[in-house]
Amino acid sequence: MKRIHVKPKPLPRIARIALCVLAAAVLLFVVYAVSGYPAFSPEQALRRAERRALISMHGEVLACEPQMLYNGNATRLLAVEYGDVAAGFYGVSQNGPLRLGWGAGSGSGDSLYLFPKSADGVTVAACPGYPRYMGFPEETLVIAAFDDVPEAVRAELSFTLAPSASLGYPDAAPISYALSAEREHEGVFLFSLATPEEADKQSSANYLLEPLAECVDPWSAQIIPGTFADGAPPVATVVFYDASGNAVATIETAFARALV
Amino acid sequence: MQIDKSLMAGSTTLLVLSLLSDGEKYGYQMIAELARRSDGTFQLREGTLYPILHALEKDGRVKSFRREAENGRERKYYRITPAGLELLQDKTEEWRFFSEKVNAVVQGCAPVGA
Amino acid sequence: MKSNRLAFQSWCSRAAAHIRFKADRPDVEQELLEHMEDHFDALVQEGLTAQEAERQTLAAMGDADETGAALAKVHKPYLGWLYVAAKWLVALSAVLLLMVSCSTGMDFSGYGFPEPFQGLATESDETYRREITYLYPNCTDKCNGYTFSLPVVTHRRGTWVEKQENMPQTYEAVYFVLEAAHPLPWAGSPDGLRESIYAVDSEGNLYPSRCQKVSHSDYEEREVCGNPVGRTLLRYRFQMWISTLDPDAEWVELRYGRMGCSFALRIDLTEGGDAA
Repeated sequence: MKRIHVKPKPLPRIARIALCVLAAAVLLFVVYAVSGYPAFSPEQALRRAERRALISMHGEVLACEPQMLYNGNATRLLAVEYGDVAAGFYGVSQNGPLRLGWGAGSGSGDSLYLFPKSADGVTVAACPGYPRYMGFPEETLVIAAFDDVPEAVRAELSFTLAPSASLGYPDAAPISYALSAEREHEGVFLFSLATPEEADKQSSANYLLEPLAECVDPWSAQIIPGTFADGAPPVATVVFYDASGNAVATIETAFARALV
Repeated sequence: MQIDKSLMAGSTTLLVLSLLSDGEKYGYQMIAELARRSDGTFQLREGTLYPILHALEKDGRVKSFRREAENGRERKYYRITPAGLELLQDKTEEWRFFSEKVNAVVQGCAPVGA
Repeated sequence: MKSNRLAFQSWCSRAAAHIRFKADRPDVEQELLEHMEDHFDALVQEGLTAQEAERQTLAAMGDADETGAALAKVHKPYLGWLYVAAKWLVALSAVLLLMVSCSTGMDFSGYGFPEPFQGLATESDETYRREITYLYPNCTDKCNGYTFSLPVVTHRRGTWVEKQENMPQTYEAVYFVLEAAHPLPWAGSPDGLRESIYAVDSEGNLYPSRCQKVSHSDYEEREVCGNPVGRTLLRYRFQMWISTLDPDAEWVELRYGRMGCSFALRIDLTEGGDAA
């Protein structure tokens, strides 16, 4: 077989390798983009959420708690502090395809709640958890007390939810709660309160706990006046104990409302 | 006259580059030309030609391309590059200097230019 | 010819076998084979028999293994292996892309910018006279890496023809599109502004964000409100309105400011744009 034309020389091997690597890099970036630009850690997802929330401060992560496994996705609830200005909760899940990273999908699956810090020495806020009220058993309400009492190793939180007259519930008596927690994270105490079970969903307890957690959401925080007596968020009392069991501080403060 | 193989070993690069310096050639052409110019003295073991050519090509001293030869077949040709010409110059100079010194020692005369 | 070919072929294969990267072998084998054929042809032309020519050619080539070892030293396999690895990398990336795009479903429904303010009435009728002016405020401001601008602004004024009881005769609002652009494609839409954006006008009136208000009355109230509507790769748009404008207001300024970030965009109400 006669080959009449000069065969053109193929690209040198090193050039072909470079092209392959470039093509792979482009493809991998497209994979990253199509899966919603997942972040590599919950903290990085938080930074992105802060950027989207148009706050230029970077919060200090005080606690990073797994919440519940949802559709096989790992979730995290972060307690975040912004100096003396604000504190908040950030919930994020590992929801990208292939579960490569956190908060994929331009953050459509995550939630950042912010509330202003109180001047009383401790800031108490309730969080609906993440994912929010998904209807699984063992729903718990997370209540955080961002404190300024470093010597405290244990804290007791007590509050009373008094429904407003306009709610019109037959069983409209005030309900008191007393919770206790050990110091697991510096700067914050995390309390958990089991929400009423299915059978008690009609009780006024449930109808008061949900709005309490809604305080952190600016759109929902408007239901407070119509829900609680005096039209104000409930007041919590926090007692701090040091290692030897002595009460170091007792502070009364109202539950925080969303920062707008 | 039979040449000691060890004497040849060091000069193969010089020989190959010289053969290419006056035009592009393919493998067997170089062997034939080498035999012709040296009156048949240099019977380079033909297998060793190709490692030398490939090494020179890797260093950029020669370039290869495929073309139709005179006998009608397609062959891989080699052509010397400017870098190869430079190396040839160096090697030629080196050879000249070396052979001068060898001659000087053998003849027992003073080196030329003393 | 055939028998010569076989003997030559086996010599060449044996020499080339020393080259560690397999894909490099065929070219070298072919070059050696062509060389041997040339030598063979030259000998035959000189008058030797095929068998003798073959024997001499093979002898002249030397030791296959020695040649092979020298060739192996020149043809290092590392670049070859790197090339194979690079090709696998591309193939795996393509497979990964296929897997990921199938599982996410490639939702492009939110892409592109729709026609603004669809569904809003533009025509006047017997009871209500509408006047819509397009404004072109030339303002941008930056905050947190986002650049904010107002690509579309309409000033809507309506007057009831008949006298109204317990209600103002006229109603004024500004309907606009707020655009946020960010250079990084993974930044995401700045939804945080909806809760905290507000406006003030030249008369000193405050128009808070809808979610900052405790209760909503039946009448139109002074407020700023809006929703995300569409995005492209680097730009995000919100369709918004400032309602119940003060008729004496000469300008209204959209403002945001909290936790270290702020921006302000002023809309001049006195300039006349094109009437709709």
